[in-house]
Amino acid sequence: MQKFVTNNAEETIELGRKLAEKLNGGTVVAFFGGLGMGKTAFTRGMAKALQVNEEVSSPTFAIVNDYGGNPSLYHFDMYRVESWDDLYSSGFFDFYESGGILAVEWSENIENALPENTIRVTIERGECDNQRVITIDGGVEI
Amino acid sequence: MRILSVDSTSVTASVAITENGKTISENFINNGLTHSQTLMPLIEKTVNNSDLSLNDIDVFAVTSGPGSFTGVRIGIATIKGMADALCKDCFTVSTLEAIAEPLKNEDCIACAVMDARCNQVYTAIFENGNRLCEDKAVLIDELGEELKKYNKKVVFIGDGAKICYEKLNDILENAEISDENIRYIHASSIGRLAEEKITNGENTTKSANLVPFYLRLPQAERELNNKLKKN
Repeated sequence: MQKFVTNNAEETIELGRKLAEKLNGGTVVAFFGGLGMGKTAFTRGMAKALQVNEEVSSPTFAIVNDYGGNPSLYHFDMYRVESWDDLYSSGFFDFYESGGILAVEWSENIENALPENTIRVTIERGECDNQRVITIDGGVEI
Repeated sequence: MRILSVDSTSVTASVAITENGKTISENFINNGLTHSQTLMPLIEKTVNNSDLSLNDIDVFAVTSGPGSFTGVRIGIATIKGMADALCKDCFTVSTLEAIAEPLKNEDCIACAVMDARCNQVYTAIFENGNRLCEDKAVLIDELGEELKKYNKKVVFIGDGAKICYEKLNDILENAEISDENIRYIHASSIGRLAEEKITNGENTTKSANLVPFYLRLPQAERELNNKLKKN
């Protein structure tokens, strides 16, 4: 388990970039942590590393955004996913098998569907408003 | 009867034009690319190589599932759109039945298996072309117990054949794995099955009535969310 402290959104983005640089396709990065913690910022950093040209924004309504990239980055928001049928129909397993990298917000909702080798990223508020304590569990050394 | 058949229910994709059971033109890919990008070019190539036009096709056939969620939908939506535009009839075939079709004339228990992850498979069992059970989603171990009942050679076929063979070879006395060249579903199998079924009196369907067929996996009986336990 690795622990990082970031002091602003830019540093969170940079941490996401560093993580994604080490990732291979067929990886799930599961976010845990509440609203406004910086999950989308972290994903924005991952997108940089994967040479994504699209704008990264939280897929609150679409449930999944497909950004392309190398490997392809799929950005999920599981907030409204409540059943296995919901999950199948989001394409979660299909995208996973296609060798993409899946960045999954609100992973709490699908915890029992996460593959064994999932990288868990927990983001918590630090000592001041903009500070974040980010714990990365699994995967690679950053 | 000229039939254009399409399969995109799993990792592979294939398209065939058959006429009276004979394959006129067929293409198969297993390149890992997404079907939404590859299927239409594959259809175009298959049609061009057949020296026919889409207007010459009598029936548009497709595997309706089981299979990957998006894969099944891509196949159904593609055939639905084409048949609708050309005012032609459609026909659906079970993916598992099409997978087992090459073993129709073999004296064996043909066990069609599609890998559904986490030790689960979609499966159906056939003997000399006759169906012995409905399409179902089971754990591989459960399938093994069921196959033990048949005192006959079992041949695994489909993209789950290797994993089932490796897991079940020890408990089955006489198990084999199908040859690589017939292991994955080819659309000509859909065409031959559709031709046979329509000739035997099964009805074709209007494009508007085409629907995907899904099976619920055993894992779906678990809670999805650790924290929200239902009463």
